[in-house]
Amino acid sequence: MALFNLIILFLNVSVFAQQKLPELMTKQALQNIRLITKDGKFTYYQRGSKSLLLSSNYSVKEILTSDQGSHFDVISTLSRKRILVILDKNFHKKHSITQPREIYWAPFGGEKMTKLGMGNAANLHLNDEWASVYSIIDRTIKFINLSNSDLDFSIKLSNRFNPFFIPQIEMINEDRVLYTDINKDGLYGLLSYNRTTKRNKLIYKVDEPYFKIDFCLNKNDLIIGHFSYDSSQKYSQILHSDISKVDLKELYLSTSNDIGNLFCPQDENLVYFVKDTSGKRKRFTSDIFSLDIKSKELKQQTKMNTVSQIINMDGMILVPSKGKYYVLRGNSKLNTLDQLKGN
Amino acid sequence: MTLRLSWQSLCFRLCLLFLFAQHAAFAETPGVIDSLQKIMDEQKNLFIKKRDDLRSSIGLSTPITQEQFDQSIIHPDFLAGVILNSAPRYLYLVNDNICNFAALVENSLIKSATGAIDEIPVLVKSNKRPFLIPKDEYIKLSEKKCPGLKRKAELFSAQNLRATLNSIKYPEPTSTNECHRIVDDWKDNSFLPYLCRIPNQLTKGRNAKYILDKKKNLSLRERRELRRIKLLADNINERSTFKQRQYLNFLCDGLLNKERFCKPFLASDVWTKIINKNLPDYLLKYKCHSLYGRNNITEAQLRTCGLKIKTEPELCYWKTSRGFSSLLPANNCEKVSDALAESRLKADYNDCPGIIMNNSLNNIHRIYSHFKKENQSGQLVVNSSDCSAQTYASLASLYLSNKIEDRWPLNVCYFDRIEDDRVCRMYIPGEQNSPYSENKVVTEILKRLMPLPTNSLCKVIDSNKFNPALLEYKIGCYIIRDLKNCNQSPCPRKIVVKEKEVKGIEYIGSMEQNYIPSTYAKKRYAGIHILEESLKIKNKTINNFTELMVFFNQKEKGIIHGIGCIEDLLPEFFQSKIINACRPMSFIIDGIVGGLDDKKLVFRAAIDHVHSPRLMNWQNIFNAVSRYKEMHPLKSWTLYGAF
Repeated sequence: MALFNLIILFLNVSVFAQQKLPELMTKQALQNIRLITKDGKFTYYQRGSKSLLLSSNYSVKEILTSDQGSHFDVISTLSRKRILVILDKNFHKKHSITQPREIYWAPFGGEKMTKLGMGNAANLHLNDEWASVYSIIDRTIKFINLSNSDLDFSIKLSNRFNPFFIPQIEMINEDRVLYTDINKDGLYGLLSYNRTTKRNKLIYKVDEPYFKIDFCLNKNDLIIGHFSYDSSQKYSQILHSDISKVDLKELYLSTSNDIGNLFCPQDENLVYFVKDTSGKRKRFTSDIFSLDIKSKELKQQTKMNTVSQIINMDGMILVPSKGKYYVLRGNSKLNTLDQLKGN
Repeated sequence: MTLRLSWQSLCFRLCLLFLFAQHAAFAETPGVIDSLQKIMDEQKNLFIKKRDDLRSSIGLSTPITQEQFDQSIIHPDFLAGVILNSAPRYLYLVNDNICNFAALVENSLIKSATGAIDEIPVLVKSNKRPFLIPKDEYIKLSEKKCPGLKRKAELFSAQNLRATLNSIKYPEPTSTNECHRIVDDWKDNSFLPYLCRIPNQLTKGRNAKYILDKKKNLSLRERRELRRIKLLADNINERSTFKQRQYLNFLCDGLLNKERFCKPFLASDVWTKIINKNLPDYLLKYKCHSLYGRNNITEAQLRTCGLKIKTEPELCYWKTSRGFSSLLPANNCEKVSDALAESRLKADYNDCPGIIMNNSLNNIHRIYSHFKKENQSGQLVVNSSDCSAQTYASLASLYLSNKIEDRWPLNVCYFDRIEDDRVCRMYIPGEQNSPYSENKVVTEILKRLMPLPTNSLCKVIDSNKFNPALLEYKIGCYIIRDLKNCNQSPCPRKIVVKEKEVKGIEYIGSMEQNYIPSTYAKKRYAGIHILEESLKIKNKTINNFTELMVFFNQKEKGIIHGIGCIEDLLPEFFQSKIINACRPMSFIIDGIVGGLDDKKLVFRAAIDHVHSPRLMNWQNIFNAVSRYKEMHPLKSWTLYGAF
């Protein structure tokens, strides 16, 4: 009987090991996709290297065109009111982190593109009413109200340490912004900027230049990740606080060399992050784990050993690995929902 | 004359000395053991008394004959003083080779109770008759039993020192056993006392210099003597190389304790190897420039810097790359050492990726610099310490040597009144030995627009260094690079002549260069093909890790380069939240580190500091190249082995 149980156990383990996440299936070639909504109603995709198209309701419209060799990125949130498009006109000719790109916004599912400006990174905030645009050269974050430009404001970063640093930015409300910065000694900090008083307040700071801070907001929860760049200085910590009164409490602590890259879905009490799963093995492996904000339960979500990023596409959580995308949460068969005619 | 000092004899004599000392001490304060210093002092006084008695009894003018010398032994009291006052590592050399005693005396490596040996008292065995022989005479008389002493002295004289040192082999060990053998071989080498004089003399020279600098109330005689010692050391410095001096220092220090000689050579870290000249110093010197904040450092400072980097690994996070606009933090110095130990990229320069807007140009420059020959045709020499100028110079060299300068995108344009037309002229950013050098082109243009002295030549300078308050900037012509608003390659410029900004000269074009062809029609102009044509190299596609390992095994000087999405290459630095987000980044892999199951690649992204490689997992490379391939117009697999 014991032997039988053992055999069953081995079978279960091997089956579990072989269980793979479903691969994302789309009618379009996957590398052309820029956004498919989870209900399949809208698909933004790139055709060739010149144009960005929107497919909806069995019709296709070209919403932005550019020079040959361009690349488009599309950013959206669960609010689904607007999208941002980042256009890189020299995607193959100019490999540059610092080169500013053109940034546009459009209504979600709409065609009218409005240019926001130039920058290196952009995000939508507060029910898609605000956009933040960061320019590496100016070291400035511009906050743009998409309805009333009179409300626009900007924050200048201190960072002169890392010329390729792109801050993480979140707006708590119209008056308060959280962002990461680096001081002259190379130390990461998370700051809270008050628009009324025009003052910064330090929320959290690391004590060595080989640490970084990731953070995300999950409704009223602020989640801060403290991770190490240096694989010989293994330290990973995740802290949590109510956003109204910052009182950080530890959720997770480990001597593993986690990558971090936190992601907070807005509809779960979880935070996802990329964790080091090497253990005692010398070869580095990593996978996505989820951490329950209330119960602190840590759960392994993938078993692929090569995961380093967590992708959010309209609430679906995708896992990129070896040139493909796998679906951790959401519908993997978008080829059945996608309303574009198959190519 | 015979002299045999076995270990037993040495110990016996030391014991005798101690017993003697204790007797004297007990006589004074019975039951108390005195300090060694006091014993030595008493022994010294005793010897001085005996020597003076000897002098007065025999007189210095009485010469000893060769026959008498051959029958004599060194006076025991004098010998006891030598044993007590000399470094054991040199005394040990006398053990099996009596001629070493004379050589050690000649090279002042052993001392008597009164210090430096100027005369040696001997006793003729047959009749116990004492003689006091001056040092030079002693050496001369020893020639009969020890032929070659005179010849060796000549070889190591000031005139012949350089040639002699260059003719000697300095074997460096690669294992502990080999190292011990090397030390034992040196001990049998009759040149050794002459060689060990070198580090000894250099130490005396340093001490003399220190005393001369610090002590003010020296007598004229003392000052003269210290200067003489310092001069001897300076002469040795001039006639020897750093590597030779260092080797001899380790050797003579490690004659008894072999680990002292072996340790520097068997150290596995790169910094020690660089200090010992086993690896090129450019791997360290640019880090030291950053650390000290200046470009000129001496050999001694380089050594100190290397030791500092070795013992403070956190310095490499950013302090050794600051000012060079690269991705930070870098790895710590231990990891950088591991990477550099297996790195084969030739990189005797510094570059600044953050200032070159198009980072693939940086990668092309690094590949060019690795493969270019000493007198590569068309190579441009950069005149300034500007780090970005070197990159542009490499690119321009490639264009010129491939005769495609008509495609060079950078031009300076102005309205020429004489030609009554807008004229554009090709320029290479920075200052080089080329007619297309930016400063030369702009100067020529200015001469057509305004009166300028014939011998005027504009200088290229960064905005943070240009200070119009200083006199030197009030006259002359300056091309000021605006680093603060640099959003293109190259950065925007302003031209100032005698404090006035010159309008009407326009810089047009920016460096956009396909690293690999994105269309078949324009294949010829892609960076990878220009490199092949110019440097006569080939690029072989690397499809998997096995091919990568085989490539490194087969091509000794080959390096791997490619393009991938930076979110996959360096996910800890660049988070990606949206599908198909990719910022292409070129990179170089030039080595493999690690054992069977934990191999890592020596990796430099184009935005990394060239002297701070990272250790990268193969899976990151594979993911990055796979994703970029899907986005590439020709679906090219962009990982190549260049050789």
